[in-house]
Amino acid sequence: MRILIIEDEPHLREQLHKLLKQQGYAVDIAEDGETGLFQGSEYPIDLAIVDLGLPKLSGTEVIQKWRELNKDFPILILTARGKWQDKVEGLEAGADDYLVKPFHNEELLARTRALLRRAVGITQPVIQFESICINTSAQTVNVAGEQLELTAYEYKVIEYLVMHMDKVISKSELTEHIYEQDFDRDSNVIEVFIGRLRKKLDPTGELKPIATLRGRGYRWNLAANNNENM
Amino acid sequence: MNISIHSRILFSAFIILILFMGLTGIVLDSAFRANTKNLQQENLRTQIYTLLATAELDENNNLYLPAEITEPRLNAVESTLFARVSSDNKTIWRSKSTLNLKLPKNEARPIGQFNFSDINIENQSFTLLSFSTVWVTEQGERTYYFQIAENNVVIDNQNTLFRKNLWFWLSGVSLLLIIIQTLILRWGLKPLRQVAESLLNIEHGTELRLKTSYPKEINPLAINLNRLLDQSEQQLKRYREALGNMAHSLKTPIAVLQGILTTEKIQQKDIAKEQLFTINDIVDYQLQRASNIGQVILGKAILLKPIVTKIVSSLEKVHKEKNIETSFFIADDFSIKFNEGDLFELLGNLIENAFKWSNKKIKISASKKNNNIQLIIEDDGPGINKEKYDDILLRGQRADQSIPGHGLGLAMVKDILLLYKGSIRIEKSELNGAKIIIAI
Repeated sequence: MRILIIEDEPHLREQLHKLLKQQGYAVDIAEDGETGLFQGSEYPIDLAIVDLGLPKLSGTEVIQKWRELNKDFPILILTARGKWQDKVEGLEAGADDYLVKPFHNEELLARTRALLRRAVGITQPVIQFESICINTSAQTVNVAGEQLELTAYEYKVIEYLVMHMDKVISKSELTEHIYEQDFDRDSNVIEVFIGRLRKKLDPTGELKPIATLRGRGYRWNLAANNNENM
Repeated sequence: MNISIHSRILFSAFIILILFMGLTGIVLDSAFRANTKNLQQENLRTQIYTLLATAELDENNNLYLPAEITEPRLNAVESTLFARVSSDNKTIWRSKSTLNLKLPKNEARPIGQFNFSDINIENQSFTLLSFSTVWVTEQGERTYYFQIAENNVVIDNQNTLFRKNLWFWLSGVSLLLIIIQTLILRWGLKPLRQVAESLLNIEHGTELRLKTSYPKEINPLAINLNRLLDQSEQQLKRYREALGNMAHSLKTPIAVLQGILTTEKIQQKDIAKEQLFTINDIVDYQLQRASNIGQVILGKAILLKPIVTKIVSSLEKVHKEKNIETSFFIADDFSIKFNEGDLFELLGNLIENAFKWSNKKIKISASKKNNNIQLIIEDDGPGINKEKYDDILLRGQRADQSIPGHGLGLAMVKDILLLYKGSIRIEKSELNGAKIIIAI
């Protein structure tokens, strides 16, 4: 999952960057409204965290422009003044949730995860597929009650596939959403990840959770047991 | 005493008019009286001449007058005009009208002179004219004494009638003048009344500024008042902006500090973090408190429904997965005299709480009785324990520590209401959750 942060305060921007990276998200950062608007419009991001008081272009304007461009990724606004008028303005412009500064890191992460899930229509943080159980809050995967040992990137691949389970995901799309913009991309890495994940998720080879569609990409092949909205 | 300009002018005009009309009446009345008196005297003199002309001498050279003479008032028994001719204290002739009346006998008068006197007979007043003349005959000279009297009832009646007419017309003219004066005043003072009306409209929020198309005496006042309004609005704006900026500059460093604390692995970081949040709450609260505008006399009324709709649709987005049904009972034209920012703060906090606590349903209603406004926000959540009603409204107290900002929000609501002389009450809703009642 790829997240864009637009925040003009350098310390806070770095803190958020680090926090989200630790959580396994690919993170892009922008320090003013104009740069942020460009990145959000051009990069395949999954969520944006936008400060309302930005130089050059206000947060509200950036959000409005994105929505005009039919960018429908979820947006979380950060506001320093807990003013209701500002919050309502930001939400009306097209944001999906707000967080008043200062905030607990846990709260920011919880909101981020909830927005990402909501964007793909998943209402519960824990999703069950046959014997595979994915906890998007704890970022863990259990198979038949046993927790899998996964690297951050491996988890990111699973999460992305699960969150787009009705779609075919190409290797390049997967790369774009898992790595930041300046990462050296090698599509073979994805193939390696998928191979490893298949072994871990489906040691007996009966479930076949990830299907390969030749020349097009991958698709999560299981239906969830507990999410009606899917 | 604070008498209106209108009353002052009207009252003084009324007094002047009464004095003027009264004086005119008195002068005219006395002139008319003098005139009737003169006419009466002239008339009596004419009567004497007529009697003299009618008188003749008989064979014995005695003065003789016919029983009936030309003046009909002298021939009638019940009359107002009386005549007598005497000589040597002996009545020679008397008019038929004197049948019941005795004129005084007093012949000691200089010859050839008219003598007027006022007499009283049987409680009635008369004007008496006496005239002595000498008649020369072959037997020698003889003095005759002519008397003619008129009952003053005649001129009194004339005077009374005139006076009646006079006062009637004077009163009529006065009344007309007062009416005209009132109309002129109304027209003259109309611009002032319009200014007052405009100010009232501004107070009610239906007008923003005074018009500047008044007469040149008032226009500077209107322009200056508008300037004052602009100035206070500007000042308010500057004040709010300054406070907002202060909040902004304070908050970011706090956020940074907090982040640093999170990364360090110190045992007491939780306490430190808690302290930081407390500091933030205090800053938050005080700034918000200071920037609440409160009831402004010259504030404008704003429509309630659009603001509630905005807040609800925003919160519906935030709490999308809860799928909450919100029902409004607010008239489209329901307006409230409140600062917009304050209203957002008040409703935002209350509706946000309702969204946090409710399961499926929220009900928002507004009603107006006379000048009292009641806003009710209800939810179908767990509700609030009766014992906690008071605690929950106190600053910093939180009904549920796990949902931050709850208690603070309500304390803020209470503070805003204090500025608008409103009140807040908590009850149990028919939806089973909390029912917050705001009265302004």
